[in-house]
This record gives sequence, structure tokens and C-alpha cells, in this order.
Amino acid sequence: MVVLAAIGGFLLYRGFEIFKDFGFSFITGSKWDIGNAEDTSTAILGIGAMLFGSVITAIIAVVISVPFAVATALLIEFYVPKWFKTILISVLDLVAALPSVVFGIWGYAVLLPLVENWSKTIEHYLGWIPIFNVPSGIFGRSPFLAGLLLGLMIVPIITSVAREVYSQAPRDLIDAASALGGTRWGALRAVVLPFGRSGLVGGTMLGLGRALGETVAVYLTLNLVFQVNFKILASAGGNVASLIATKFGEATEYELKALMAAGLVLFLVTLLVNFGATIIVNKSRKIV
Amino acid sequence: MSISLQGTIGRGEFERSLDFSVVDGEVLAITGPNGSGKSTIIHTIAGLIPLRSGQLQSENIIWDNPSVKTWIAPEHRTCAVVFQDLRLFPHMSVVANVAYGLRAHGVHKDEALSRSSAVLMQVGLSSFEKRRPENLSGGERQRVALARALVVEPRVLLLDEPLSAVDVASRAALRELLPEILSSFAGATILVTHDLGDVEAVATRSLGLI
Amino acid sequence: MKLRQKAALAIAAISLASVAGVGPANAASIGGGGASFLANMMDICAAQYNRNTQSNTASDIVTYASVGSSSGKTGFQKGTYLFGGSESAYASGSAVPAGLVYVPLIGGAIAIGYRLDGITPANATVRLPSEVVAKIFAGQITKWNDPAIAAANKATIVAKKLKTTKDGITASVTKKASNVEFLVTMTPAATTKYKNAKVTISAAVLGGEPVSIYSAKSAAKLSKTQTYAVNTVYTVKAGKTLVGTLTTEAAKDGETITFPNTAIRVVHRSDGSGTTNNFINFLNKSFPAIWTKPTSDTYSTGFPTTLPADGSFQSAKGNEGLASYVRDNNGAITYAELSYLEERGVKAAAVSNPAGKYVLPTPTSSAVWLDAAEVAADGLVTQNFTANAADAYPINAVSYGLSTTSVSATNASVKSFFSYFLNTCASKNAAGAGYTPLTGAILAKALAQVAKVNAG
Repeated sequence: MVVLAAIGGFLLYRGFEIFKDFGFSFITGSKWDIGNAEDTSTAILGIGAMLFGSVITAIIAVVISVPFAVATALLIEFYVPKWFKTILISVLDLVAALPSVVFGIWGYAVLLPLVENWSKTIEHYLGWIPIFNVPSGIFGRSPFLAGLLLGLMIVPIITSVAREVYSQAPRDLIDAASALGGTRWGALRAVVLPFGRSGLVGGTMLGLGRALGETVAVYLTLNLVFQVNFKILASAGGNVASLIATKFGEATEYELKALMAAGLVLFLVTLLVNFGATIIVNKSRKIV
Repeated sequence: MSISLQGTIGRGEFERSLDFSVVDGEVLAITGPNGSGKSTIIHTIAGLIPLRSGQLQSENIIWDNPSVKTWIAPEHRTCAVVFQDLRLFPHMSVVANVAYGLRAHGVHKDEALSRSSAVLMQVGLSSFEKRRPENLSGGERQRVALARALVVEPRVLLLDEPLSAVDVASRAALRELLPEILSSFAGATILVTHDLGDVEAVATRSLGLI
Repeated sequence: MKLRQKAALAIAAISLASVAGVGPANAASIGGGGASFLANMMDICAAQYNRNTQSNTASDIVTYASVGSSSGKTGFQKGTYLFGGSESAYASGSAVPAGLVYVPLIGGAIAIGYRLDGITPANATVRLPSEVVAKIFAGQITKWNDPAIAAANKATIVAKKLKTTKDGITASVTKKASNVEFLVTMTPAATTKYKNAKVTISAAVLGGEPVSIYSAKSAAKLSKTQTYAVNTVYTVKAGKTLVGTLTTEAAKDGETITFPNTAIRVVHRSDGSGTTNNFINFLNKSFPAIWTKPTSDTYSTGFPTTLPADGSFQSAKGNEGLASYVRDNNGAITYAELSYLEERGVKAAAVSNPAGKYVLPTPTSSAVWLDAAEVAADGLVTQNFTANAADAYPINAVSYGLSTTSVSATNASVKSFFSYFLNTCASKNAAGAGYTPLTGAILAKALAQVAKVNAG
């Protein structure tokens, strides 16, 4: 808690001038132009597009990873034999421990061409939905790819949390469900999934937090463009963390402050997500 | 004969040989002190515990026989259980609890709900449909568990200490309700209890375990 | 900061000495960083310098991090790097190290690299008028089969012509085996009229410069035998009168390229870059109506409008990133130092220069362009964007080494390395590696700038 406050305080202290100069437009604006180095008033700095990119890639990640993680957790807990369970768990631990740069390179080298083809197919059939429409016909390094990669990255986190709560699901009730004629899957759906819902929400929020803050993997798989892009298949986007990583080395004093401010925003958003997670978890506990 | 068991049941260290059968319309009360294996019988018939040896059979269908490696999964056995600890689904409403078995058997949602309502009325809980189990009294919960077992129209009804988790006042009411319901039940009933009062109230035959 | 650096240096020195077991006690690790434009050249020269015990008397270990000019300038100013590399000067108003010295180190062509599958003929080299380059990189031309690109890639056909007559002079050509024979005859009137004139024949392979192959005093009958060369147009003159042009068969200049309807993906730098700065400067100075903003290290800042977010503009880090992206993606086009394209087998387009000729980027054609550049007292090079040498490649940059006048062991090492770079390494290795070694006035100025380093 002290460390958290210290980080927040440091970022606020360094970035305060930026908030003073730009106010709310720092969060809503999507232009990043340091202007004339002599005169900081010529700078226009806004992280709107990057913030939007962070959120949309994280949402895509969660949408993709949750069903995956739930299926994996159920598989591990209720279906596979014990020896295979051990293997699966260690594989998941291994994936969780992979450095994100490895994920990023793999995503760039292996996933990118695949996703490009999938995107073309999706655009072909679902192009009439605005978010899937890509008039330029250029797919490649899109929010969809970055989100998919982030999704795969957070599967282990969500799976391990889901597995833990599912393993605590009452066996008595599962037995009761099957004694009443419920199949294995029916019993799991009736008992385990509702029972583990609160835990799953918590795990998902944890994953969301990681996806929001992920830097390298997004940096490698997303075409950095300072504009809000809601067409998730089009090759343009970015996120706050990769913005900071890109600009940090070459930043002027003033730009550095702006990056600190961006860090603060990211910090607050992540904090908010975790806070929200706690509330949701507590709330869903009461229902059960 | 509707259900017969000849063989050895067991759980952990405990093991016991049994030989009995129950026919349709009959209510067999199995009595005995704690640790005599009453609940194990119910769980074995329901398919939650495997038989150690011998054979469990309903009509002409073998449910469990280790020597010929026959074992039918719990969900495919035509029986229904009222557990000692009830095991109602805490996150579902009363009517959803009752309808669960029907839905699991593939009955359409609307039909499942109307049939559940009918059974709930039979056990005197028609105004409790939307409540959750945690907001019910012990006796009310017991009736929900009973309704949940009856609604699937099983060939064999298994009752594990149906009156143990109930306060004295409710027990009297249930003792009146239970024979009424069981008399209109067409299949075989096995009732496990340590209370001889229950035996007197509902059983047509009794088997004592020592 | 200072103290930590010293400590780090000391540790580096100790570990080096103990590992290598040789070298004087003052051996140091000289870590520089900056522009990716010259990183390939830096790698070569640093490796050679580190091995060269004659020039590198202190047994220093020079390393260079390819992080982009902007990071190089910031990093050098903050002391992260002991010397910097950049193709652009510090922006006015930004923090500048005290006693800063720009040392021009190496030139290079900013090649227009592209990948385009499905063109016919498959191995053709695309020609791009510089104005088309300006429009592509400004997002005004978005398809490879744009008429402006197609128009620049049509072959010029010169019809077969074996005989021409003018003013009583008849010139003819005949192809015989591996030779061509010319015959020039004059009527008596023409003989009189052109009595003191010279008859000349020049040959030009299409697209190239004419070469004189024959010159003689006029006479009633002249003949000449010359080795046959394909695609050659011969021009016959009597004095200043053009008698005509002759070709032994239809000659073709360039190839007609058929372009697929592929979307252009412009790949630009995501990091602040001197390559970007020089490229936009060329576009801004040559086509101010299209590139309306002053140049910048940041592509989006120098870009005339707002970068489109539909994927038609892609960003990548470093010259390395640009060239790799183009290698991997059909329809992509970028600007990068020639060596990065050559390393990855990426094709470079021939770009038209102010003289109207299409020229491929090579160390030679780049050197011709830089010959016309001027170098200021502070070492900064100003290119001449109207230089009209026919064989000059028009888009180039000069990389500067960044150091200071202040006296220190580090700066002594940097000075020694820069001298080695200019005097020994560049002249020997640059052209082979795809760079343009500095010559003439710029080299003289560069050496003068090196002298200022560590001079107090």
C-alpha cells in the first residue's frame, strides 16, 4: 500500500504540470506532437487513442481468453486423468512464466500471418459490422492480433484462478446433480460454473490488469498510430504502455513529464479495474 | 421386483454384505445406528459409490456388477435421491431446483417449470417458488428436496434420513405428508433412518442393520 | 550520475583487463548510441577498431547501440552514451551538451525500398518520379497501379531506322555479324556547304549518356565500323546540323511494368529518426506544395496532414525494422539506408533526380549528389536539392558523430575512434557495405571537426 502510494505520488509529482497544461484533453485528445522544443506551449499531447487502444485490446483479450480458460480449468479439474492433469498444469505454469517478449516475437512471426488470413475471412463475412470493416484491406498488426496475443498470455492466470475455485466446488452438490440425472457437463454447468463465478470474475480482472499494462507484446504486434481506431481488424492502434516504451528513450524534458502523466493514468485505470474486481467479487459472493 | 441388491457395499475401511430387494409400491425402511452403512447403501444404489462385489439390479437392467465390469452412470439410473443433507442448489430458486432434474433429462423449459410447480403444490410449497433455499426453514427445504426427487418420476426413490434435519414441529407435519405422498408414488421406495418413529409412519417393511 | 558512470567504467575496465589478461590499465568501454542509419557501418568500424592495436592504442572497446537519432541525441546529452550518432542536429531549444561537436562521419543513400508481388516482369525494378515518392509517402497515392506510377514505368521504344537523309547528307547503318557499319554520303552541294564542318557519330545505349564514336572532316563518302551493342541509338551530325538518328533494331528504354491492384503500405519510423528527418527534408524542399510542414525527426509531426489510421501507414523501429517489414509484407514501401535493404534482399526503386533521370541508389550515385552539398562551420551539411548532375541519386543523408570539446579520457578515445573511422575504415569499407564515404570539402571539414574533440 505504501509502495503503491509512493509510485502514484511520484507519477503525480512528475506529471502534474501536464495535467495543469492540458487538463482533461490529455486523456481525450489523440494527438502526440511535442511541437517546438523551445516553447512547450506549442506541444499537443493526448493519450486518448492509446488509452482507447489499451482498453480495446484488453477487452478483446478477455473475450478470447475467458472461454478458453474456463474450458481448460474444467478439463483439468474434472475430465482428464491425473497424470495428464499434472502435465497440463506444468505446461500452463510454463506459459505463465514465458517472458512477454517471447510472446511478442512468436506473435509477430507465427500468429501474424494466421491472423491476417482469419481477419480477411472475418472481414469477408462480417465486414458489414462497422468494427470488422477494413476499407483499406490492410490487416496485419491489428488490435485483433494484439488482443488475441494478450488473450493467450492471460489464459494461464485466469485458468489457475478458475481451477482453484472450481476445485473447491462442493462435490456433494455435483453428486446430487448427477443423482438427479444431470450429465457430467450438466452437473458442472449447474453447480461448478455458478459456484466459481465470483472467483472467475476475480481472475478475469487480474488478467485484464495484465493485459492493460502489457508493453512488449503489444509493441511488437501493433502498428502504432495516434488515432482512435475502433476497426479492430485494421492495422492501427497502440496502447499506453507501448507509447511510454517507444517514446521514453528520446523524450525531451517536457515530453518525459507527459509520459509520467500517461503512466499515472494507466496506473489509475489498473487500480480502478482491481478495485472494481473486488467490488464485483464481494457482490457475487453475497448472491451465492 | 423393482430393485435388488446382493453383494458387498463399502466405503473406505467400512464394508458390509447385503441381500435385499424391493418391489414397486413397497416402502422398505432400513434402520440401524450411526456407522452401520445406511447412507452408503443409498449412495451405492444412486451410483455415487461403486459396489465392492455382487450385483445391483433394477428390473432386468444391471446397474452395477464389478465381476462383469458393468456400471451405469448415476445420471442414467432411474432413481432419485433425497440426501440427508438435502444438497439443494444454493444459487437457484426453489422452482429451478425442482426443475433441474427434468431439464437434465431434456424436458423443455416451460413444461419442466409447470410440472415442477405441480409437484411443489403437492408438497405444499406453491407460494415459495421464487425463493432461494437459504430463505426457507428446515422443513420447507426438506419438502423442496422431496419435490426435486419426485418430479423426475423415478422408478426407485431413495430417502436418506428424510426427517433428521428438521425441527420437532415440522417433523410432525412431514410425518403426515410423507405417507400421503409415498402412497401415490408408483415405484419402489427405500427409506434409511435411525428413528423408529419414521418406520412406523411410512414403511411397509423394515430391515434392521446391526 | 557522474560517479555511477565512473564506477561502471572502472568495473568494465577491471573486468576487461582480468578477462583478457592484456591491455593497459586505462582501457575503457566506449559505449555510443544513436542513429540506426549508420549502425551497419559503425558495427564494421567498431569491430575493426577494437582489433586494431596500432590505431586503438588504449585498447578501448567501442560499442554502438542502434536506437535512433532522437534517442541518440537525448542519450548523449544525458550521458547514457559516451558518443552519439545522428543524421539530424539537435532541435533548437532542446538541451544540448556543452561544447558539442558534430563530426560528419559517413554518407548514405536513403533508398526507397519496396516489395511488390505480382508485377510483370517479375524482377523488374520500379521507377518512381520523385514527385510520386512525395505523394506516396504523403498518402496521396495509395495503390500500386496508380496511373502516375504506371506512366513512369513504360518502356520508350525507338523504332528501327537504317537510313536517314537531310540537307543532301545520307547516313545509313548496316549490321554485319558482331559489327555495325556506318556509311555517310554527301551530294556535291552538301559537300560544298559542309566543307569545313566535322561529321560526328555518337552512340547512346538508351537511358545512358551518348558517347562519341566517330569524328572526321566532311567528305563525299565516309565509313566507320563499330562493335554492335544492343539497345543503342546512334546520332549523326554534320557540324551543328542533326542529320538524324539510326538504330539497327527497335531499341527499348526500360521495361513496361504491369502493376497489380495492391494497396500501398507506407512504412515509417516509430522512433525519432535522423533518416526520417533527412527524408522529409528532401520532400519538403523539393515538393513544398505536398510536404507543407518543416522537417522533423518524428514522421507524424512532419507529415502534412494526420496519419491515416486504416493500416495504410505502418510504423516500425529503426532502419532495421523498416527494411524487415518491407521484406515481410507485400505492397510495402519504405525509406531506409541502402545497406539495410541489401542485407535483406529488398529491392530499391530508381528515383528521378532534378535532372529528370531515374537513378538507382548506389554509393557512387549518392556520392555524386553529396558532391554538391555544402558544409557549414559547425560541421553540419546542407544538401543542394536542385543539384542537376544526371547520375546523382537525390535522397541522401550524412551521419554525424556527436562528441564534445571537453577534455577527458573518454573523449580522447572517441577522438581516436572517429579519426580511424574517417581516415581508415570508411574509405576502405563504406562502398562495399552500401554507404557513401565522405570526400572533398566535407571530408576536410569532418577532419577539422574531429580535431576539435577533446581539444578543450
